[in-house]
Amino acid sequence: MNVKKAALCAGIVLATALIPLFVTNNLAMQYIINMLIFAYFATAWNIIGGYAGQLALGNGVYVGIGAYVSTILFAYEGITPWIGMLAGGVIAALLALIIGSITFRLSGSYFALATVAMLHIIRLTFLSNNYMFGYHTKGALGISLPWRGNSIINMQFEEKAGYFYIILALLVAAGAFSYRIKTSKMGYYLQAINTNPEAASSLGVNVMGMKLKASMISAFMTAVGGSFYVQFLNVLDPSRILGYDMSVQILLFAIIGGKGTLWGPIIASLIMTPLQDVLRGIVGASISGLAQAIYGLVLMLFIYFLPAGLWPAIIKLYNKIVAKIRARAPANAGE
Amino acid sequence: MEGGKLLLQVDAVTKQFGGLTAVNDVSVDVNQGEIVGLIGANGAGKTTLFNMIAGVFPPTEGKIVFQDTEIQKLPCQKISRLGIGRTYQIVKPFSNLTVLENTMVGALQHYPKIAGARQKALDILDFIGLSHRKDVVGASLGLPELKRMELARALATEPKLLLLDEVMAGLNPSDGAKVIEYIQKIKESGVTIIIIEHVMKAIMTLSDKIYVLNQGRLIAQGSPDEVSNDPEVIKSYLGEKRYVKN
Amino acid sequence: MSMYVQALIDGLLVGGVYATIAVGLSLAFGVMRIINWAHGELLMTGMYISYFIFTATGLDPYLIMLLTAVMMFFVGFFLQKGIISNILERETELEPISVLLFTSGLGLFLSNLALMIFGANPLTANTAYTGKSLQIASIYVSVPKLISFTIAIVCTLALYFFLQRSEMGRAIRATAQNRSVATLMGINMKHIYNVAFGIGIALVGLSGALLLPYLPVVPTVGATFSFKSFVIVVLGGQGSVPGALLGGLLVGIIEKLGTQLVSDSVAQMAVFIVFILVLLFKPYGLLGKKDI
Repeated sequence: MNVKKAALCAGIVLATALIPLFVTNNLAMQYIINMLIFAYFATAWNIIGGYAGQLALGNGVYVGIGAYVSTILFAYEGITPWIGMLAGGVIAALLALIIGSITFRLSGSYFALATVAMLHIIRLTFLSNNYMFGYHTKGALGISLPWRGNSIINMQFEEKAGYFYIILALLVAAGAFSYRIKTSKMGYYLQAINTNPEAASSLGVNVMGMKLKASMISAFMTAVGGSFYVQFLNVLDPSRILGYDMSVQILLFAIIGGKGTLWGPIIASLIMTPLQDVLRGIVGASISGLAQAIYGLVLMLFIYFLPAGLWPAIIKLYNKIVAKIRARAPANAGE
Repeated sequence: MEGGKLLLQVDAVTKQFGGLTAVNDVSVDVNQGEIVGLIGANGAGKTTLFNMIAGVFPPTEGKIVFQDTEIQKLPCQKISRLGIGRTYQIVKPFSNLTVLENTMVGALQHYPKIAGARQKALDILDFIGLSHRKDVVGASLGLPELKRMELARALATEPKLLLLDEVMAGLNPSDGAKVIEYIQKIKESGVTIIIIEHVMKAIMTLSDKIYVLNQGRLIAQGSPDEVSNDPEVIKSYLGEKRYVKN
Repeated sequence: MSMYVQALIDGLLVGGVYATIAVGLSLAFGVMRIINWAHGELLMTGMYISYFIFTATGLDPYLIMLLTAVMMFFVGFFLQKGIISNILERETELEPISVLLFTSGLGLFLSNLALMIFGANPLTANTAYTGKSLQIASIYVSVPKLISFTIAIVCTLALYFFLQRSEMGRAIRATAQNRSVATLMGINMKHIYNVAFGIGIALVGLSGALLLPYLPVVPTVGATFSFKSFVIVVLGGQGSVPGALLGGLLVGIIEKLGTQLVSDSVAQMAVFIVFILVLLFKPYGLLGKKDI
């Protein structure tokens, strides 16, 4: 990454970090934090869905794993969510290894279906059992997080700013890591697997191994996000956290934004996540489903007209404009 | 010219797909530094043999030994890392990547750092005359360049043995002549080659020895002169004269 | 004991309708290799249309089914012709993921549109058959389920014979087996795709009316049937009509018997687990590789 780009990114991050100083409205902060959370999830999904090109429709299962592990440890063992997050991440990665070994043998559509089946199996398991691994998880009722006090170590804050900085840090870390992967040997290998796995294999790429690695990384990151998400919501609702809708939402914006790109998932999430919140503010809860209907419509329009996504289209436009300006410049400078 | 020590030994290999025997008790010896030609009508089993050497599927019977290691049960990527590279009859480019990036995927095997892989890839592209196209995306290339890119990609893995599957198919005579030059250059750089080809002139010019397959069986082997005068070969190729004429 | 027989019969009856719903999906996957993620939502659409025709006219649902079948045929035909075919054309892969993504957007859109317009409350149609049942020995057989089952089986058999005997049917099967050869034979592939997809959606529309007498209409009914249909397609083997029938009956039985034996959630999980096992060990379906 050249210095100019790095400086630009740093500038954006710093500017974003100043937001809590100017925004005091609690509701607005909530919307913003939501934007950042889904940008984070989309970035995490992008590693398996975009770089590796595997349409994992059931990745929401890792949000649930992260959420349950850290919540159980926090609510019943008093362990800080920071450790719970890591534990959740590791368990999610192991689960990804198991699920991946089974599902990666399947092709395209069947793979997607299998990941959804896995999601439902795990969701049903949690929903129908009141006790999991000895802890009282209350099945479909979910768990309400106990308030242990406003502190960093509890990852519980009275002011939204605390949550804001954590998710911003997570997003920056995710973005940086994603960039690192993209520009490394793994990134090239994943692109090769994405385009032509047989040829990749003939060049020494361990296709199955690479897919599993990408899936485990993505699962770890997603689970960490899941842990944070429930801390932020203060409640674990399994039908939401392990729901199919959640699983779709974490990838929807990655696809609209441009899967396989670094900024696409982030930009699209930042634009589209608030839609739900804003619409609710304007038309009230009476028109439920409007935001989701719009998401569906937008997805259809993008797949049909701009399948590569929003970000590549923006880049193309930018390059066109720059080329036009450069074409004019010599005439002006030359005389 | 006879090559150095034995590099690859295909030992009584048979491949059956359900009721069909694609390759039947075939044995091939490849010595270091040689170019071995593999000819025969379509469906004779040549690509199937390549696929077994390259690890796409295992033989039903027989062994394949590469540098004293039995490789018939190993998967593709392990065989590539042992030093066997290949190209495909129908090209398999990474269409979204540039020529340079395609080649880098191969180079990364021995040069895991991006900078190193890039340099290696640039060297290979130079060797094969594709440097001026390095930033062109695979999807924009024509067939002759795609074939050369595939060659570059395989070479970037620094193979000891290279399997070339009809590298000249679909090329006009002048592009074909260029490919012959490159193959000779590759041989001079120390890489051993097995080549499947229908273009008789090329095979006869390049090969140190030739194996002839017909319906899965080996019907002749020897120097280009010996093979072109073999009555069995002439008989089975009379029907294939259309291909010889290219 | 009789509870289990009851559950078994119930499972068979609903399974027959599941089969008719799923067979269209199977056809689409077998002929065009496309996964219609909005399959269930199109069923939901068929149900809502049936409901409103019923409340407006009081027509017998088993007559409404003819109307919805025709309507949904055209919906399917033009969806394929106008949109999906264009997406398919751009795809270079054998199995187009873009269609899966597009139709998942469609499904999302349709189910939420229904939610916005009709609300989340279940709508029940009070037809002449609703709630009636026959008693045979100690078994209670729901009348609407029985009639719907019979019609569903008839339709599935009709489809089977259509594909085996009629010229259009044979053209569809030829296209499914080998696209390049079919084109050489002069078959207009695009037209075949449109008809095949249209037929599948027509059956979905018909099934919407078949379900009306005994199933409440909600926006989420789509999601339930979408995945059920995928499971049936995989169990029965893509493109196989007898397979879809077998798959449908099997899923129906696992559901109802499972709920009776253990619980609703476990029954659902069993369906998903069977699904994964079949995908892994019998990827061509329980009947093995077959032509349509």
